[in-house]
Amino acid sequence: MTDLRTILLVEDDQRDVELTLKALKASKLSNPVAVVNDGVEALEYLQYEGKYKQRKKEFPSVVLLDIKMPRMDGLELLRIINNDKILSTLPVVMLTSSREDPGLKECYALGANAYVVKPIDYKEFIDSVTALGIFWALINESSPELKT
Amino acid sequence: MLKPTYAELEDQIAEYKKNIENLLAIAATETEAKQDRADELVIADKAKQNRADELVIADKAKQNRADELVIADKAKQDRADELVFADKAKQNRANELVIADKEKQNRADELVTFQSERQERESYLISAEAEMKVRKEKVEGLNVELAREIVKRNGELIAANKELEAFCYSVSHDLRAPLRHISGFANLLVNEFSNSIPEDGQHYLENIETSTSQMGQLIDDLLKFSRTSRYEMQVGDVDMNNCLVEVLEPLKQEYKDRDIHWSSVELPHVNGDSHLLKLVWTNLLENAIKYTQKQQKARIQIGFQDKEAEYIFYVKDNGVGFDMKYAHKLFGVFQRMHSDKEFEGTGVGLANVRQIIEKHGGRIWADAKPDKGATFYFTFLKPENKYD
Repeated sequence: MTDLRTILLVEDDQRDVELTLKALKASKLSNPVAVVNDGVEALEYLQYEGKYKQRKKEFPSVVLLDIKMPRMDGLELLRIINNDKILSTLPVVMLTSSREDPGLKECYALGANAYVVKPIDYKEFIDSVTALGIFWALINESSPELKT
Repeated sequence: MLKPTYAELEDQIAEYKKNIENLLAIAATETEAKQDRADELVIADKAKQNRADELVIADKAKQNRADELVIADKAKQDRADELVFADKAKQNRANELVIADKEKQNRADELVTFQSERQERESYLISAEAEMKVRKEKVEGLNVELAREIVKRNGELIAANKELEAFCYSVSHDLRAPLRHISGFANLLVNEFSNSIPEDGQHYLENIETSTSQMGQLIDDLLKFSRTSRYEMQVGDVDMNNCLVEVLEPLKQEYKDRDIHWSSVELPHVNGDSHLLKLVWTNLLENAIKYTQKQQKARIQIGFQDKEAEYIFYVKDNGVGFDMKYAHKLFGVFQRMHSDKEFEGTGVGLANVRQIIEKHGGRIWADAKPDKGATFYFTFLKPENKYD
């Protein structure tokens, strides 16, 4: 097995972070998970800036992106990623609380690869996260530009 | 006696001669006068003759005149007779005039009354007209106000709709998040500490999970309901048969282990939004399936009635039915006829169906009896009667 690449979780709600991490753990995926709390921090992570200057040069296998966040929300971050030559090839899965998000259509227009509404039932949530994790972190082959 | 001498005789002869000559002259003169006289007589005769002739003519004229006079007399008589008649007629006329006078008087009285009435009426009309003018101005004023109000309300409506959308997003997002957390942590508690939680505690945790998922369902259904109200319809010709088949086939598959006898007829076309119409059939058929689950042999019948201006579609089942005294609650949001324990549901489905039918300008109602099944009816205007 090749080295397990990081899953980047962009989520501001700490309880959601905790539950998502638990769900990823329950899915038996052993990929490392990096957690950032909003779009600004996510950009710093992806561009090796701020406190992520020293981190290992590696793109995440997938970005799990919440929409409603302080400072820079998911849509804005998505727009920036989409406009970046390399980052635009990064798989991004929108993870949101609601089907009523006004940005569903916009997310796809901005290059999101998937849109997942977090189920209320935790067992269903674990199933969703497992399916996502397995597909994007294990099955899916990333763009060669991201493998540098 | 002395004897005349010659001279004397001659004188006498000369005298005689002279006398004769005189006499001759006189005779000649007399002849002449006589001739003149004769001439005059001839002339006079002629004149006399003329006069006689004239007299004859005059006599004739006289006769004519006499005749005329006779005629005139007759005419006079006739005229006199006529005058008598005329007098009589005059009398009659006079009598009539008396009557007419009386009538005239009456008429005059009436006219006076009429005129005063007219006066009254006119003054009433004038005041009515004045009032009408005032009212018209008021109406015009109101119209302007109304137009302004409509524009204002329209703006408010758009704002309210936007607000509603934001509210729905907020409800959807912000209410669901803590629910997910409750469900998640309760689940983790059960998974990770099941050994150290007593049986009662585990039961409570199960209740927490059931309630959170139920509330999740309520929020989702409520959002579905609000989505329908905000949904912009795409109205077109819809073949109800296609609509029904698309809904019915998956349901038949899903419930193939149930003994359900389906019956339906050829349905007409309507003007509507096919997406929403499918939701209507789905909801009504799922209800029929749900409420016949206790029947050994469920029977679900789909049909329609052809009325003058509309079609009445119906879904009839032989399920548990309900008491019609609660029928008014049937189509309200979160209103239920049965407990959640008996039949699952949030009570939004029929409210949603009602909303869709009303959006299409139709009506919906139900007829049922406890344990004797229920029939749900909804109307659709025939396509030719649709005015949009």
